[in-house]
Amino acid sequence: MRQVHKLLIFIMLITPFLTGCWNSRELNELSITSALGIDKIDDKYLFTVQIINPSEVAKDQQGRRTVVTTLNEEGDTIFEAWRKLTTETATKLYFSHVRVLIIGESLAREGMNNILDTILRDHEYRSDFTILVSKDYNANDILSILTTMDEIPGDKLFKSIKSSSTTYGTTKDETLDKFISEMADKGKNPVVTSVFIVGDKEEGKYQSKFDSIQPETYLKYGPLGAFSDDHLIDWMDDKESRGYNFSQGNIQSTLVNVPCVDGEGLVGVEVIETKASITAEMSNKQPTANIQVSSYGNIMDSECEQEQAFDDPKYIEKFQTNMSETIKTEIEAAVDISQQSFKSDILGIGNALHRANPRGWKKLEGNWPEIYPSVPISVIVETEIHNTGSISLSPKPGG
Amino acid sequence: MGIFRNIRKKSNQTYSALPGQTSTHEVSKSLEENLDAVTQSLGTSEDIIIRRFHINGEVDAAIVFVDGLVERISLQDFILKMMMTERDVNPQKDKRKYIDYLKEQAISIGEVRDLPDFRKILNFILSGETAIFVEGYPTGIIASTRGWEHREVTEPTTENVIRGPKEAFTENIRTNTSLLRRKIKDPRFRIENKIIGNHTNTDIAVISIDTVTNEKVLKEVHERLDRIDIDAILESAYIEELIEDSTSSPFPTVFNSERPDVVAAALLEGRVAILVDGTPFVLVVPALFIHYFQSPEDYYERSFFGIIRILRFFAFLSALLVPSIYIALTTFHQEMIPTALLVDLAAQRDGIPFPALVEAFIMEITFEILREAGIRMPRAVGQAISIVGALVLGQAAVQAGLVSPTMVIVVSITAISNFVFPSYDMAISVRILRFGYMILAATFGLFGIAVGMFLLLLHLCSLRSFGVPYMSPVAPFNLSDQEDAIFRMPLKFLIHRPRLISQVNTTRQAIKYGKNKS
Repeated sequence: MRQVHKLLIFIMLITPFLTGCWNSRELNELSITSALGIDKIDDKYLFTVQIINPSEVAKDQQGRRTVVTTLNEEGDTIFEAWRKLTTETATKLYFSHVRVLIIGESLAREGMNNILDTILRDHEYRSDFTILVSKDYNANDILSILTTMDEIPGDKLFKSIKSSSTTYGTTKDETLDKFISEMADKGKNPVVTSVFIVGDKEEGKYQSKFDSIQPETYLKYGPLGAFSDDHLIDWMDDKESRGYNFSQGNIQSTLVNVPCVDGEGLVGVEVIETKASITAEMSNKQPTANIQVSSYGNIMDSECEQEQAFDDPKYIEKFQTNMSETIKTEIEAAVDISQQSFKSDILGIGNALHRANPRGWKKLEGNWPEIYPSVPISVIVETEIHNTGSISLSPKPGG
Repeated sequence: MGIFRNIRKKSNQTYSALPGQTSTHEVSKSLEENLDAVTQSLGTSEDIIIRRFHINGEVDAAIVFVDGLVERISLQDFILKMMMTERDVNPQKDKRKYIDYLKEQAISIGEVRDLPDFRKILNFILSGETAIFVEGYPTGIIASTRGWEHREVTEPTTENVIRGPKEAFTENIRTNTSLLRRKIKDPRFRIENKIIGNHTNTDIAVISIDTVTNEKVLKEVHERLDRIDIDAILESAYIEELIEDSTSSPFPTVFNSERPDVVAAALLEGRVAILVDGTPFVLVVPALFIHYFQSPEDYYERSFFGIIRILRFFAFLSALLVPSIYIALTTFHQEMIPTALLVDLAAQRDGIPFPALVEAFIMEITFEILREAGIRMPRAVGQAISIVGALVLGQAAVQAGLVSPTMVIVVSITAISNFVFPSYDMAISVRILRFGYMILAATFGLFGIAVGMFLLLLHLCSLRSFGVPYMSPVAPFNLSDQEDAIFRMPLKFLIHRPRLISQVNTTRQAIKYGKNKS
């Protein structure tokens, strides 16, 4: 027994030496990359990285250097461009902390299949960062803008998409792994948020812009871009974007402006919870789909001309119908544009059909892009007002 | 190992041939011969006092004692005075009777006996007893006059509690046994004496409670103690090392405490205590891993706070692993650190000339040096050490660019965690193992730490203390023992003694509240 024990311990002791995994690196040997950008310019990839200067971030007082440095390099393949970058950086690039990947609009329209390969293949990348498409600008331009609120632009983009996608609802936090699984999925196409520059892009490169309380150049999220497989088709507008998010149940909180029941004016309702389910079925060998959304809200702002009886159940009932209609129009707008102009199933109707009727889906699967535009989709919205706030009647002057 | 065993055997032979003990072991009839034998054996040391006198003015007699070890007053009042007064007994007439008379009436001292064995008499003299030789009688009377300078019972210095008894054992074995007896007033309380050490003749007391203590363990303790043949026992650590199950393990398998309440509680659990004269530290066996995480206060504070034990296990892990995890994360697994923290850490490491491992080693070793200096320095320079210590391990080191601020925090957390568990023995084991884990972490990252933990667990599970698995009651798992293992349940649920320790009498209290688990 003793011999066996000794042998076992020996085997255990030598295993660490046999792994061959020897990539220890000290922290100060890393170039921590917070954001990546990929463009295609004249058949060559332009690979842009935004590297954090840790000492500038942590310093008590602002130094003269910027907190991030943006570098770019061209190459026939992404890998070539990436390795070429080592001629510019001090140490090897470190990609595990990439927060956002920005794809240039022209490259997105052409198709992103090829560029995703290297990002998936390398073990250093994590697949949970957000994909964005730069609208009207190159990804390189976006990564050259300094941000004021959060010093690291990559961080700023990451945090702001988290908050805007859950509290306003026109953007979507599409992570790389989600994008890839939707891209590969025949029953659902991906949707990616756009990002663009407001103001003069040259000015945004310099720290001097921090001197102003109201920066003239900044980054902003635009509406969603619909993809068909791996290429961008076109942009939605704000209303359609939010309709899309409502249909997917992505919205945790947003606001809806609902017309008053009597007279002119709008009531601002805070949506506090939405649930959405998409069902599809085959009837008479024809697929039909049904989007059902239920949402709950609180009244936050009443600007009606006539006095509104929010404490009257009958009134609330009518008001809820109004609110349902408002949300329904938004969802229908998203459905219409996806069927008529994009002809791309971004809502996931195909997946719903797949779940409901796997055999029927098998037959349609091959030419789903052709079938999708003609699928009848009905939208049902139910709403419920939970709370009318601290006051029931609006204050009236001289009343 | 075989080589050591041989060496030990050889040296043992030299001990037994001691000079002065070669002559006859019988006490002679002649007083002069006896006194000669005493001076021959003990030499002419100044503290050996031989006082000659006459009983009733006719019989020559002498007392022999070691100055400083005897209590002068009782010697004076109860032996010399009584024996030198005139008596109405004729020693010439009835020889046997006279010595009995001395024993029974003349010497008014608690414990008196007569011995014919010269060697034993010598031992008693050296332990502070007084020997009386009378001309014409082949026997020596031993009168108990032990009494030397010793420390009073004071507060424990190494195991402090907020609530609980404030007394600690002393260097005197009699005081120590009395402290225990006072706690356990039970006729089944047993003390068995042994004398170990060829030169030191140290008194050892093995304490157990009949019908509670596991006989097998008790027998094993006696066997192991009897096997010891050494020249000196100066501290209980000697005994500990000679009887422990595994000397090569970093973990202690013999528990020690200077608190009578801790030892009494252990005795009542069915464990065996070994007291050694000359040290306040009492050994307790068997010792299990969880014993080192149990503080007496767990039982003196309200049971809800028995949860604090978890904190000690947590502190054990953090004292063991915090530096190595820090090294592993910062050199191998940077992707596991949140981005904001990573950027911060990277900024701190900017300009640090050493790799994380070297940095950690410098700091840890500095701390160990300070700690060692703190224990051993003369009191007067204590302040100087703490000032210098704060500089070396603090802001100054950071400002000098030698170490990063995070490393200072890491070392501090480790240092503090190291003192959370009540047992200093366990703290020493952790302290040594920590360096091994740091090296593993720096070479193989978290994988190395995982392998190391695996080996540690294997080792711990293979250990035994006097036949009891070291990791019990966790491995082997024992449900009823869980009532006082990782948590301390309320007292009304502590119905059983630890099953594997006391196998004979496992019920502590009448079951009134809970269900009968057995």
